[in-house]
Amino acid sequence: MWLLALLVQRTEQNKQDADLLERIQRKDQQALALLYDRYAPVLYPLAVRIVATREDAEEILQEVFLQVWEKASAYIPDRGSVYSWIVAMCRHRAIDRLRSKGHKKKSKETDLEPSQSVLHATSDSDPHDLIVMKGYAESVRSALKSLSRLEVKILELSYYEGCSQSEIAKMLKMPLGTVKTKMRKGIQKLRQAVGKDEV
Amino acid sequence: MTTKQEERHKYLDLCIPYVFGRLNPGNRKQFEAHLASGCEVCSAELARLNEALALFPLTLKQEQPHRKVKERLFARIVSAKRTSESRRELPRRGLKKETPITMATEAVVTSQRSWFGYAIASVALLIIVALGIYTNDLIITVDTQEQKIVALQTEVAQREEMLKILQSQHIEMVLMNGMEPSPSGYGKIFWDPVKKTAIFQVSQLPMVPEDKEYQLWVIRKGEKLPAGVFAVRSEKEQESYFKIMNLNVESKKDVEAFAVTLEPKGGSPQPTGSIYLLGTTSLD
Ligand SMILES: [Zn+2]
Repeated sequence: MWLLALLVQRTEQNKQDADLLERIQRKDQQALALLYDRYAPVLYPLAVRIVATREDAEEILQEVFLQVWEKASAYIPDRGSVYSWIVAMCRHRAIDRLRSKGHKKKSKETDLEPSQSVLHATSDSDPHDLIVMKGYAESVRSALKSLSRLEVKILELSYYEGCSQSEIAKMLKMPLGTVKTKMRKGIQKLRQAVGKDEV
Repeated sequence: MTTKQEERHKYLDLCIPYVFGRLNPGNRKQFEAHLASGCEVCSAELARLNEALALFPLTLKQEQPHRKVKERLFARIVSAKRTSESRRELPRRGLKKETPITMATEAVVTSQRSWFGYAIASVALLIIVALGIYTNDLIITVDTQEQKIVALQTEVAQREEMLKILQSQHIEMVLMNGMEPSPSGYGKIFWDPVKKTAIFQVSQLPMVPEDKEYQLWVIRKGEKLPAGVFAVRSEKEQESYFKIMNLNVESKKDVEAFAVTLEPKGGSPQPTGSIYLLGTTSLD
């Protein structure tokens, strides 16, 4: 039942986010500040994870919210929540920067160990954790434990390193079809974690 | 979760590479055209994928970025807004021509890249926030025969003028408290003693009838010098910002107090009505 509670909470949150976006379209800076406070603690580590430097991550964070400020009307509700829209924007920008800088990160090792950050994160809840989407964060973390190492690695390579499925196949020396299947499975497990299998 | 019908849908396979931004340009164009045609299957799948993938960063340890990141963001917004709006909106009434707004705008924008520029903009922003300037559409009022006090009608104008003052080396500020007739009212004056321009904020003063206006006084060496009149005629105007030109006050030590009284419309040579706001310099 607590999944249902999460969903209700999430729906409520998205409604608030959509209201904030509407205010942002009317150039309400306070609304932008609220949205920033709400999601920066998730977006910032995401950007750091991808581009590896705090400086770049800070710049990306600013660019993301500038884009929200200028293009709030570009949000399409049918394509997901406000949160997912902003996260995707942040990831795109970070990956772009990663590529433009050409600094392919060293973490391209092809072993199947998930990265430290995930290992850290999957360990039990950290008392210093901020509480953005706390319930969700917890259930996603425990869901990750149901993913195989390979599934996690494949997701990481595509999500944080921006690798294509065929690049991953080459890197991990496995058939493209396997990579596709694993990826789909991994995403599906993430979905199930928060009862989002059917939207 | 995948129905037979969906399995046959040839675009469905493109959804994952698409959300990861890994479709080649040809395929992407084709896929986007397909989406634009209104395919609900793909649209729903994209929503599901976006939603699921947005959960992935939740596995990272959350961390609040440094405060300065937010400050810079808002400094950028403010300056972007000013560059885009200054051209069409700034030749507004009341503001004197010898204080060209655009110069200040450019100065801030060009120095923006430097650390110093950021710092100024951030500090200014903080103060603007502290003054609660985010109330929208601030307002109209009045000017005197002497044109000493001018309402800053738009947010842009207010920021503009505040930035100009905040960029100066010395800023003086005096807080004004509500007196007997309006205990919840308050005001702030901060000014650049060199350029002699000031921003005057009033809050929660009662509305006044048509034949009355508030008058601001500078009290120096026992003398009460008129510094301009203004009116509060609507609820909106209860939160107002003004620019005072030629505020002839070198420093706080120069004056004993600022006061606001209620006077007949147009103001009086010497105060005749009750004191609504009073800010003494000796207390702070
Ligand atoms: Zn389709």
